[in-house]
Amino acid sequence: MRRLRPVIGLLLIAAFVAMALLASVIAPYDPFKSSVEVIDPPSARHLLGTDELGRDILSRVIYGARTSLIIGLGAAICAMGIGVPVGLVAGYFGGRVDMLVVPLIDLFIALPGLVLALIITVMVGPNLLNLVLVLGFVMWPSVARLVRGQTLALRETLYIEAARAVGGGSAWIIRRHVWPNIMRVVAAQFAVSVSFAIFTSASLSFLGLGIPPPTPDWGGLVRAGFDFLSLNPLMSLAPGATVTATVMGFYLTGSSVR
Amino acid sequence: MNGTAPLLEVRRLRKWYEIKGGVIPHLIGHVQAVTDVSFSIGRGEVLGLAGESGSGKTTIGRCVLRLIEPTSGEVLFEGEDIGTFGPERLRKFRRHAQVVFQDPFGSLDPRMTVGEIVSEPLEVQKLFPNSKERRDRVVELLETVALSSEFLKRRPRELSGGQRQRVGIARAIAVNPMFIVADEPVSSLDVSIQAQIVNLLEDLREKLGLAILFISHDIVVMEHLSNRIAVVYLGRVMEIGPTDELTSNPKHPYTEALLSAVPDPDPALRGKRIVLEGDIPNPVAPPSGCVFRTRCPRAIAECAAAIPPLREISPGRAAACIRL
Repeated sequence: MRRLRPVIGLLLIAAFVAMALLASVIAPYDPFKSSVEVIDPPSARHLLGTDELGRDILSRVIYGARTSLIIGLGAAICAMGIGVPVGLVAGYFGGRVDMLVVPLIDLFIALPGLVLALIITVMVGPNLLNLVLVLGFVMWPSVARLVRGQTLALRETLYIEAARAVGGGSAWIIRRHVWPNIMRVVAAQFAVSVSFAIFTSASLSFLGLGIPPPTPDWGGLVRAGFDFLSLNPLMSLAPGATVTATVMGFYLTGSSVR
Repeated sequence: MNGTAPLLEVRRLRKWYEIKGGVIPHLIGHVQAVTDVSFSIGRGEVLGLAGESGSGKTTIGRCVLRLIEPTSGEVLFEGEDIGTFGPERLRKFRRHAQVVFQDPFGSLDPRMTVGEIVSEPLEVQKLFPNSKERRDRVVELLETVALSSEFLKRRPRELSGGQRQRVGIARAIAVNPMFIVADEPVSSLDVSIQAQIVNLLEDLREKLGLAILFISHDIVVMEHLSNRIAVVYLGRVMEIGPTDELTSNPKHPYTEALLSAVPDPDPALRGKRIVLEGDIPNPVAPPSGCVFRTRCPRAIAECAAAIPPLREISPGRAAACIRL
């Protein structure tokens, strides 16, 4: 199972990325195009049926992968963009910056990510860009904490002292010794961040604070299907399953790096 | 020394670490790692620094390279106080003064190849900007330490302890330094390898005219290589003098005890072993007067009264003991 984790994870990620990139090829219909076949049950023409506006659910789920990919990667990149430099500086230089950063990180981490994201989203309004920024903002402290801890441990190593002894400055040491040694852990945290962002954005959409319609996104699709659960349960279950599989894919991959 | 200025001069070096405690953190004491240590090293000279673990040897080594900042005292390199160096001057200083660490496993970055490790000092110091020339220099350095170009692409984990230490030495001499601090360079190696590394250091000293501060807890290891030996205990110099004199005729009771602990292969020549009672005292609260008195077989009441100064007992020899 240990060995299998990253394999399963990477397969799920590959399937998800392929779905997002090749959406226009795979999807049988235009995800925005309505028809008169409203809330059709699954059939040979519409494998997952149609929604209340007669749009093909399968196509909408497939296109939903794009939204999730953008949010997942975008938010994780934002989180890294803030968290990695902050963690490196706090961990490597310590001192006043560290004394300022650590309580801030602790404060953020003490708040549940979803609730924080919810509050900020209400304030700034839900759209794709805001969602990416809000989720990145919610996630950077865990990145910073991880990077800080790793850097702190590395700073005391003899090989970093050796690098200082040959005259290497802070920038040189961070670039040549600290960064290469924490890259793996940061990559793992990146994957975990993607999974958190996709999961949380789906949760926000489900609560009605996600991507505004008509853009298909998985959380929103689950929410929309809710009203028609007795007529066509796949309307909710299909996007729910893709969220689960994708989040699991990134999480399994990320958590298997140690 | 030949009457000229020494290469390195250490004057009343002190490194005390502050201990803070209490609900509202305040200074409650000091770890007296190094107290008022003075010595000098001439060009091409090897000074052995001997002492038990916890005696402050490594701290002294780090201070003379300014890898840590001393609390007080001066370190003069070619007559210049290295404590006053700014970043740029310090970087230049590191071209002349280098270090070999005890632990060849921890001192090499596991992610780098041997070639990258040895060329790092050259890159940092911008000594061979041309990458072809730099590579040649790295190969030359590897050959100097009896490794070959086939090691270039290897990583530290693929090397034996002795090979790693050779890489550590190659890195240290890459910038063509005048002075090296060798901090327990052989202590973590097999006995069979220790001699090889000591011999390598001796070769380098001759070839490159290197001055070395050779730090070890083992007086035997440094005997062959060192011109002079300084014995430290609890961060203070107990005795300093030329190797032959100091080892054949130790003056300070602590030196005597250290030397008596060395096993002699010939039982007939074995002297009486002086066994020191107890452990090295806590450097936070060292004994008053002579710090060695609590374990000294020759201690008398007066030893507690005042710190004995390091006094010259014969030309080039000094000891800190009131009973001499």
